[in-house]
Amino acid sequence: MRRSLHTLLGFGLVGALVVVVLVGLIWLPYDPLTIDLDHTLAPPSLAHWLGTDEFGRDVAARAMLGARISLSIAIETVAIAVVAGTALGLVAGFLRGWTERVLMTFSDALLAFPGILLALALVAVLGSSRHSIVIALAIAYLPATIRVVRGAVISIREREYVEASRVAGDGVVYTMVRHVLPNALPPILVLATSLFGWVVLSESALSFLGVGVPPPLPTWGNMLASARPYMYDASWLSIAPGLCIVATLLGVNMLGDALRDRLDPREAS
Amino acid sequence: MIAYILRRLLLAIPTLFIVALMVFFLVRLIPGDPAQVMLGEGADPAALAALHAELGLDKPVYVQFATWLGHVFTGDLGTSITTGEPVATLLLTRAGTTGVVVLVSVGLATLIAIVAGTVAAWRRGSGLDLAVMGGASLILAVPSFWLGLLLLLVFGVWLRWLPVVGYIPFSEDPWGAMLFLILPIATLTISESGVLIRMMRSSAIDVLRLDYVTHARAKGLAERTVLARHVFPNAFAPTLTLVGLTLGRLFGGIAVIETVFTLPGLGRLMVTGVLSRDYPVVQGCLLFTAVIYVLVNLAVDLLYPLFDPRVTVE
Repeated sequence: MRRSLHTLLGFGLVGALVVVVLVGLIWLPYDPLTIDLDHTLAPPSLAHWLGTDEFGRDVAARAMLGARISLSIAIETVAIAVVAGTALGLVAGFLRGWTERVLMTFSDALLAFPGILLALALVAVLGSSRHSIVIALAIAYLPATIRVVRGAVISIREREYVEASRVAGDGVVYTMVRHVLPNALPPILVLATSLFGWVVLSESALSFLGVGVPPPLPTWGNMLASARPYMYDASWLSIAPGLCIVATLLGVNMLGDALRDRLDPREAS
Repeated sequence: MIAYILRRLLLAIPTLFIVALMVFFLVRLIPGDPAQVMLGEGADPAALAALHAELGLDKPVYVQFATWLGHVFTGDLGTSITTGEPVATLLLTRAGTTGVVVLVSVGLATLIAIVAGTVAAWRRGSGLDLAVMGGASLILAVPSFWLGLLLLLVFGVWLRWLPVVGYIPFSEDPWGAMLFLILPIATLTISESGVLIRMMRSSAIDVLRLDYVTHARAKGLAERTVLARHVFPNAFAPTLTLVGLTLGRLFGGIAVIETVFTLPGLGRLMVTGVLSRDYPVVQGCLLFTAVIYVLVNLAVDLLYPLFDPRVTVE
């Protein structure tokens, strides 16, 4: 009962977010980029539900556009990290031997850099743009994906059906894709969900540090960064974008828990 | 035991080598002449030539790497392009602030996790458990920098109990420095306790199921003794591993917290390095934090048998 309430809340939060993004595609309360110097730092009102920022731009409209930008970055990043990580983890876990040793040494070395610093350094090299953030975050989260997939594959490769496929004379690639990969999908799905939350968090942190999506485009992170100097005069600027991040992460984490309970009953608590 | 320590140390060497390789080649990934990239457009030709000679750019790449690694081993991480100070000096002066914040916060978060996680596991399914788990889930969803902003808003702006911007070094005024460190430490403690509480609770639940706990209870031991003497020691090991990972990660990873509270720490150094394209500083920060990460995890692995007697040193 309590579990299903938890799941329902997760669906509700993520669903609300998707609705906000979809509505934002066809309607925004104001143009999120138009500067209006007559109405700077206006507190929340009927005209501006969440107030306006230091350039008089509507905070609600910016948060809605920010949702679209942050979520699309997260989706792309997770897709790249999961596809690349699954391929490498599959190869490492199935072939074992030297291939595995080389891949794991590199992935361990990558794992030694704090994710956010590695992403920062990569953005420094690649330049600050939407693309480089996606690539930097995907690389930063690649080792974790490789680890999880490899772990799952190692236990799957010892099962009878894999042995049977080998005895039947199937090629290595065929066995990996046809028999090992489908059985490794549940943990990969659970990982992809957690990854989504981490990426939303890291992207907002990068934007907050000023190396994320370049202004004037809004993301929740850079909205918080530009709110920092106006804490005395316009504290509402620091509230709304943060609440958006919390609601997203809460929803995604709850869905992740539900997915884990469903797919991997041993982990259920 | 000594053989185990030695073997574990040997295993860390290839990882550290590849870490160094990655840090070295990171800057080489940037298209163009590395010296030009480091000094920026319109650099003084003489300085450019000097840097060329220093980096050995006319020699093969593996020679350049060997030269660089040799410098690193002697503690020479190059000089900052923006301030002209040696990177190693910058790192050491900044590491203190970060170190204090990270060590105190993780220590406090671990204590909170041990108590809250064990109690929640002990009263599993109760209102208390629900509250602890709800709190932990909420913490996991709150970005640390936003939590920091909120705390600043409440204690700095509204209540005016604590300073909002700035920092006083410990050496000048320990009491003043403490005032600036309270909020960063509180933020990080709360942020990091979420995942530790969940880990402690789930391992305590596993241990509470075991026969020897039933036996300890049957002997008539007080619940407090059962939890403290029998459950905690056997349930702590996985949390300890996580504490190690957290320490290693945070040492460079609290850039956002340092930015919120304008603290001159390692993460802040790295961020300003990135923003001003000061590549020697970026390289130095990366290398330093990665080495710390590897060493902290090494230490945890070596401590592991002390906490979990079932893990024998083989």
